[in-house]
Amino acid sequence: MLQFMIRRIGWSLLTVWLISLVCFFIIQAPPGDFVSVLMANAEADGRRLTAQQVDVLRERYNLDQPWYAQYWAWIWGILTEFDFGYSFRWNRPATDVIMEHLPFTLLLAGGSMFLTWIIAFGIGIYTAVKRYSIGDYFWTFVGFIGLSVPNFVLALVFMYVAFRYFDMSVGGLFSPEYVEADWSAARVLDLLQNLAVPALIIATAGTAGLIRITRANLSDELAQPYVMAARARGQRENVLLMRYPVRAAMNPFISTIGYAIPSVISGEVIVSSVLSLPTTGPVLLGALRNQDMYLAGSFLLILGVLTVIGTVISDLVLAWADPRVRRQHSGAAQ
Amino acid sequence: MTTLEGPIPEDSFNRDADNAEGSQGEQAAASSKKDVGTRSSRSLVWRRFKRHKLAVVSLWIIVGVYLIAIFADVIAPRPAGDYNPDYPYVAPQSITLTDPGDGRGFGLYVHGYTQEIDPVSWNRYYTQDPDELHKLGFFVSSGHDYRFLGLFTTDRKLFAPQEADAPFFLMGADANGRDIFSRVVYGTQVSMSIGLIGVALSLVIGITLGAVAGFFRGPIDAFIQRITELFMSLPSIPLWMALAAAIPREWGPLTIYFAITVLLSLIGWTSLSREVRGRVLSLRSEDYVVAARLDGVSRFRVIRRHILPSLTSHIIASVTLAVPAMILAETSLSFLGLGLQPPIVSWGVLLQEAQNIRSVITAPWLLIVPSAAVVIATLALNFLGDGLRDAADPYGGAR
Amino acid sequence: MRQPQDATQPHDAAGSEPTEVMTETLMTTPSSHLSAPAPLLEISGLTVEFPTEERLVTAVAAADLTIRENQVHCLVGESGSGKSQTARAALGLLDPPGRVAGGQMLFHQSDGQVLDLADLKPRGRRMRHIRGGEIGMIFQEPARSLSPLHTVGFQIAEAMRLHRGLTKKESWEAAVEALRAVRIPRSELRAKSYPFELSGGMRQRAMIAIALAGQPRLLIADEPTTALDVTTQAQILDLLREIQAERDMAILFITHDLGVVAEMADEVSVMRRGEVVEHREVHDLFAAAEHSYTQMLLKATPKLRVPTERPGSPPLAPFRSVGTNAHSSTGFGAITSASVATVRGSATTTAAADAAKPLVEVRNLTRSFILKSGALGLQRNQLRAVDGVDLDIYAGETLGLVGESGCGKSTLAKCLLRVEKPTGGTVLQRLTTHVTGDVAAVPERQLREYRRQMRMVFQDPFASLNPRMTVRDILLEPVRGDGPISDNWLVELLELVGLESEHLERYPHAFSGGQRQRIGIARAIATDPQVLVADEAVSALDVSVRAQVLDLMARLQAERGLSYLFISHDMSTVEHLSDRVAVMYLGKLVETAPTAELFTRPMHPYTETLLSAVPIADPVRQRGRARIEISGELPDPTEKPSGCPFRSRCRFAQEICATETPPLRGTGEGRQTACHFAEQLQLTGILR
Repeated sequence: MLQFMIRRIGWSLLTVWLISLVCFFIIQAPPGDFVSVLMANAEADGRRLTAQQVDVLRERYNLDQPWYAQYWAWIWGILTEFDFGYSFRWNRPATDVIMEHLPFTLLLAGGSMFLTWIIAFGIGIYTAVKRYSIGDYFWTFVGFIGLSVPNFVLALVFMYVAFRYFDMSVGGLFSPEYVEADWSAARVLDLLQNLAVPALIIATAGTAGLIRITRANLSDELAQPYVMAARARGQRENVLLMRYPVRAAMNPFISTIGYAIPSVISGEVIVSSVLSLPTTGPVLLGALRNQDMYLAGSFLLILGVLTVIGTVISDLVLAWADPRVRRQHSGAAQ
Repeated sequence: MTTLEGPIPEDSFNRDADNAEGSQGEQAAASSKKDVGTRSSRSLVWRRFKRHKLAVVSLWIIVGVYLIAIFADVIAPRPAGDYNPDYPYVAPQSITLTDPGDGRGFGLYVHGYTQEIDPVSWNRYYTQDPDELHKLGFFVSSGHDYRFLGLFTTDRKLFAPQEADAPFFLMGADANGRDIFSRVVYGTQVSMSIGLIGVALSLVIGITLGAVAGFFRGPIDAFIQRITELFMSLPSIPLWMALAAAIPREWGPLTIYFAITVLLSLIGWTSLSREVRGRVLSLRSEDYVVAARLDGVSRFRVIRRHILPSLTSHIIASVTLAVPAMILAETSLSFLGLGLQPPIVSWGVLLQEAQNIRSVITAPWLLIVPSAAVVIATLALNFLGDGLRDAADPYGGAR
Repeated sequence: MRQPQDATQPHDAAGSEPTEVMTETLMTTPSSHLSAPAPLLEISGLTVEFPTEERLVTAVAAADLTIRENQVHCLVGESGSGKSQTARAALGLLDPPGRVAGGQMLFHQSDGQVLDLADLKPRGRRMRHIRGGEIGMIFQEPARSLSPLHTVGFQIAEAMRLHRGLTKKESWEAAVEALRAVRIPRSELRAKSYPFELSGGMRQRAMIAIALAGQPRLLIADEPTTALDVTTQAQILDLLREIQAERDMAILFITHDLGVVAEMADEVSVMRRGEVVEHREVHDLFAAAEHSYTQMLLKATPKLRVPTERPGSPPLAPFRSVGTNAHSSTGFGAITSASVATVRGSATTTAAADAAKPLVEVRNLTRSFILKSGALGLQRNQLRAVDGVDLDIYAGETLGLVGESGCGKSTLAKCLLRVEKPTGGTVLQRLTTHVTGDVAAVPERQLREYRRQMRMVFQDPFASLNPRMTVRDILLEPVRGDGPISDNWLVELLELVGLESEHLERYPHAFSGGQRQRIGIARAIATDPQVLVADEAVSALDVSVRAQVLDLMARLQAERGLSYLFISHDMSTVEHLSDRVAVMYLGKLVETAPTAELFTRPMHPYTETLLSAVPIADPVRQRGRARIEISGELPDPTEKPSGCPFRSRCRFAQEICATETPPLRGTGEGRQTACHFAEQLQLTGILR
């Protein structure tokens, strides 16, 4: 088991390293460098940077050095000082901007993962047990609609309905009276209420796929002889269903959760942008639109790393949940 | 009985249910199978597919959508960029069947609009004028020349007002008085083709890498697997956004179109690659592939004659399921302003105008019409792909 | 209706009320009727249907069956005969959309009440009590009948709790005790094992422990040994018989194997196409079967009556000169007609001269796999699937290769055809002059002509034919590049294997298993080969179909002078077809000998054990045999015992067996044995 964990974490470190390369490439992709963008920006504001200032900035960010040195400096900064670079648009260290928005992203992503999981598992079990019934077709159809309607359209429709029929202005994670309020139980409740709909919207995209996977896996498991064997020893249908096939169908389900994380993060970016939630999504979008590349690259890096961490966790949970994997990697079977 | 489908019980000792061979059983079995015995796998796939009613309906819808894309010039009453400042945000017109009694005769008519200005807010409102009627006709001259499928020049439109400059907004207009219906029809061209071309590109990448990994195995496979996993663990939308943002703004519309397509396929190939690899791996060790090797068949022929045909139906199904994902990705990117830009018209670009909730309140059709197009197309493609996937293995359910 | 108060109370046969049931409808013979114990489960007119979209499939059609107390009742039939569905219907375990469409299933409970199982709701409380409490059931695949995610002990304890009302702790102790009762050593430890950590035999023992947890009065065993090796099968059958004697329990034993019937049954019912066609006492059935179908089954089952007559006629004359070039477009027409016998006959002399030399000489052939394990795959275990095998194949002979699953016989076949590349040893051949030197080492592209001369028939008739090609294309594949092939040639090839010209344009899915195997054989002989390697070629087929395919193979051999390497786990089939037999254990040959000698007087203890485990399809002979117990489990192939691989299970093992590996050496009369004591031991074979 320990060996398995070491190997799995080793691979994920490699993946993280590759992700950081991709992110750095993205930072470097736009024509010109960071300082020239800064100069152009300053000019647009009617200010002018002196040649000296420019040189200081270039040196500060190692822009006069080859790309690998720049990459190394960037990574070194992140690893040692948690310094992700500088956001010229916010005129603040990128780290500050990220840290301000990341908690809400985690909350929202976690919430939609949870919803995706609950909905998909519930419907998945139902449709597998009641295969080819009216309910099966209905829920499958609903799942497909969730898959086919873009997240942002759902978000827009939600805003429209809220505004038009309930005269509510949607946006943000807090109702007006709580925006500036101190943390309290009521404020937390308000936050959760406001999170529910965005989380649900994000969840719609991922559930259809998971329902299908659960349904297929559970159908396979239901056909396994051990189900009939459990029945033949006189066990109750509901007990044996949950104890054996559903338990077995959990395993592939757990492993797909890892791959659902990227889709949830993707959905979060779009939905938050539409609903202007104070999460990373709109900030990332703004950074990309304005070529605030250090901020954008850093966000991307963090989102990627979060995803990798999520996949690793789901793999480890899977290994822990499946005795076959668990014993295989422990080396001492008997 | 081996051709029976569905959950027919068999004693699990033998997968062959009807083994009363040699006696009259074999002959009887053989003659009753006469009709199906000579059916190729393709016709069996088709037969199974046809049982999915929803998938069949979806197939026709998809055919219809692509026909609209091909004949967009004929179907759209107005050119994509044609604007009319006299009709901002006008609501959809209704078509009436009537005879105005002024000699134009019995037929289909739409009403014109009248403008009212709110004396307090100075907002302009448009209402349909019950007295102003414009007669509609089929294949009428519109005054806008186009080349029909690149063959000849004409200005005939499938269904349009007989007076070329009459207001005709079946699905409403946007802020600049552009006809939403015409723009959605033109958007079909871009949105549906970007899905196809993007998937074609990812198919090339995915099949090549997947087949190489599955066939050669060993370190090559391990390496390709790592790359695939890397791409799968990245959140695609932020990555697309970042890469799309790196596309220089000064590029022409067509270049951007291709750049976006390439970007979409660069990230979208992973699932196809995994699918192909898995299939190739399992097919490699199939007895009949080993048998082909022992028959002295060349490696190339083993792949072409024995492995690929079993793959195609699965690939077609995967492709069909990949197209809607690409369409959604393009739409999302363009909606955020990072994908295609005006003057290109795609469904995503059209939805950009729905970004502002105020305009949606004023003119809900800005949101409804393009969204409906996206949903219909992706839903139909998803159902089609799902039906194809179920039908892809005609022998799976039979034994 | 009240539940029986105490389901665990041992049943007293004498005390039970004689019931008023319809014995007159039963087809028992008068003699068995007189002495018959009271009926336990009486099934009459049972009909099971599976409505599908296309039509109504009747799996069981008005079947009658009476199982009596303390009797072993065998239900025999080929696949699709409805025997499993009958048993499942009794417990309400039919898979949807299956349903009981008619008939009665009267079960005599221990308190004397008679219950019609057909009336019970499949998910109701009463049915749940019957399941496990009154009727236990074990299944064909023990590996898949246990939940892979739960320990064996948990699953036994669950049954204990359900039927004995025990607490969690008590039930665990009862589970450990139950494992001990099915002769599993170190049962405390085994209870904590997951199914994948146990061998097939152990899993089936665990399943039996579960089925017995509620102390049922009837045990339904649905092909419980079909997935097991023959030595394991013998152990499980022994266990079932012992338990049945200990417990006053009836067994409904479902099987396709008449050998197992001869071993186990008191009474036998024969099913065919959903109907019970014959019901007899076991000795009566084997001595004088009345129904023609039963007679056919009995005839198709090898009796292991040494020396047997070879099926078909012996090879007329080896008519082939080595290295014959393949057919022209008229080739097969010539072969099948009588005229060619003379043409071919002229080759007799050369062939006779060559007959002394083997067509294929395998020397010290080894195929090993590296299994990686550990943190970075640094630990490597070597698995020698084939471990230094010497083997000769002579012209016109059938060499049988037997051994239990995992012994390396399939790998050996694959190495011969170079599907897998041997890691050591040589394969020399006299089949073609195109390959010079060692087949084991030459590059793949030089093997084409060799592979035309040595062909393979696969085990699985479903997987070995490309479902996307017509029979015509499948048959043309090996002869592509031989110039144009006429339709006549193809039709003759088909007729040679008992198929017809109209089958040419069909796809494999239109054929039954036996027909597909005929197509596979046609493909194999299309290149006019000299050697056919048949790897479990008839194992997936039903008894009657198997006999026909074996006849076909014998006929082809007689007509065309083929040599066979016939690989099987089934001793009786090998005995039926082979001239010589080689026995394989853990990658090594332990004995080769002419068939009759090997079966009457084995010289290796493993051969003796195998033979002893084979059930003979004759109750008189089978029950008169002395059984040689085999101890222990098959060792892990990566951790073979030192010295003689069989020593860990051998009852004659001495110290020398651990230190010196006995070589395969000549032990007279064309025999070879790999045992230090081959000459000293007096081993028992299968007597006539």
